[in-house]
Amino acid sequence: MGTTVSIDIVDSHDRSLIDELVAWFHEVDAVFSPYKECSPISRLGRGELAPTDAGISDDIREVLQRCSELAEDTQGVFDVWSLPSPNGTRFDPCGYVKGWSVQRAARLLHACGLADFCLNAGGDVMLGGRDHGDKPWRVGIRHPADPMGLAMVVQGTGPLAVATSGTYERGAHIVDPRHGQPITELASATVIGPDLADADAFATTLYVMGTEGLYWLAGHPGYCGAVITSDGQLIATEEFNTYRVS
Amino acid sequence: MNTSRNPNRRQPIDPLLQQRRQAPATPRSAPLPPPTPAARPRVAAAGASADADARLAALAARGNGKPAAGAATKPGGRRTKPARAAKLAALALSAVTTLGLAGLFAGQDGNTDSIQLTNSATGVPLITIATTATTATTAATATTSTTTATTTAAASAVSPGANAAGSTTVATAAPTVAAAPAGVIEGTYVGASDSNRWGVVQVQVVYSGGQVSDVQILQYPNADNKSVRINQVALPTLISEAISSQTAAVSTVSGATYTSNSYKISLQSAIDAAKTASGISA
Repeated sequence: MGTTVSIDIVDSHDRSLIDELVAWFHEVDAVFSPYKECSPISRLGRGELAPTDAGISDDIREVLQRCSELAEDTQGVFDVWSLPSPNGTRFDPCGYVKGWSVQRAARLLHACGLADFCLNAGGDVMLGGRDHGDKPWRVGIRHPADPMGLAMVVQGTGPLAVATSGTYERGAHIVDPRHGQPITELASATVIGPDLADADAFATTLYVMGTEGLYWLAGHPGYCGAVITSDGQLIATEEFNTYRVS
Repeated sequence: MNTSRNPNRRQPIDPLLQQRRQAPATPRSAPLPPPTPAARPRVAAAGASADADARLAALAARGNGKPAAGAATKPGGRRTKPARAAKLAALALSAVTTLGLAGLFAGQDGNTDSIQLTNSATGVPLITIATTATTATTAATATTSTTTATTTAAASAVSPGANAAGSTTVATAAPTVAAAPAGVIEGTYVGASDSNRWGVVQVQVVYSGGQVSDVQILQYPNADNKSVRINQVALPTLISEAISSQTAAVSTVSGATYTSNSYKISLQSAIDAAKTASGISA
């Protein structure tokens, strides 16, 4: 789905485990990529498959179900059925699937008895346990105007997800699905919470909603956020600042 | 933690100021306006770490019985800043809708000049909207403003639902038209529905005895669902500061949406170089 995944596992040199995770991400790509003409997601978008068809996997059902809930929860801001998709349809669940697949990978690691890890899929981070020095993981938040710099650093002990939405290298690639206009108030939005799939969706939503979205986010226990405005102001909630080290 | 490290930290933003600062909502089809200096969060002078109840009480007290400092107090203030009144009204209506509160239009006898919304569970005053108009017109103005928050003409048709004879009363967002309370015919008046960034808002107002006796929400964005939760939890205190670019020892970075092809090409070349340098055929 046009992104990269880094896998950092503490105290394990089990190569087969890495292979298993890589295989999982390739499987996700095969099923969910809107770039692939014949992926189930592209066929769903074109109407060749219906969500109720027998051939639809439980994974796809799970993603469709949660995306549907999120569209309601976010008052239509996060709506995977309203986005221009690379395959020409209006259905692009990438914004959810990326975080969801990493969350699933984290579960797999947990199931293998590995508590300490750091997974990063295109800037969306899932932390487990503690880092290599048995300290809380430290995650830098990209500075929106400086590709090599950080705007701040947060730290925490897993399970903890850190997701950031914004206009970085790809340019203004997030539009408000309600009117199709690109987002201009904010440069980026970051959400911290227990689940990466939701944190990712919430970060996108917060980015679209603007600063006021922090009040919307407050209605979701366990999640907190911060935004960076286009003119360089960082606006964070008090809860978010408890994760900050700089 | 480590909040003392940066002297710019911990500048609170008053949630109500945040609400007020919302410019008139943009019509759905128009591009979002670029941020202007006036639209930036304003930083409140006090109230940094007050808990939710104290904050709400302070907000209520600030507007109780007299126009709030900095609010629409000057002559014509509500006319020149309809968005502020609209936002306050929307906030108030949100509270009414989502918390199921008793919306007490205090002083129905017209002697007071404020609207107070009280949390029926705790008795804590939530929001007080102070105006310079009489109570009846205050309510009408607030309602009308809400339904016209995003219309540029600031005019909203209010049709008298109970008056089937059908002479349509036209009210505007300006208080001047609404300021004829004595002559209002009893009945239910439906406001025009209007879209803002959050959805469609439509209310109706019930007049009896020349006074507003009820305001009912016909449509409100997600009125029965998530906005309930947002009002049940304490509004977060927002803290604003200028960001600077920095480097630090971190395990990973959030927000790096690298253009993946470049990333892969570069990564592959590095791998190739490493293999070549190590005498391994790539």
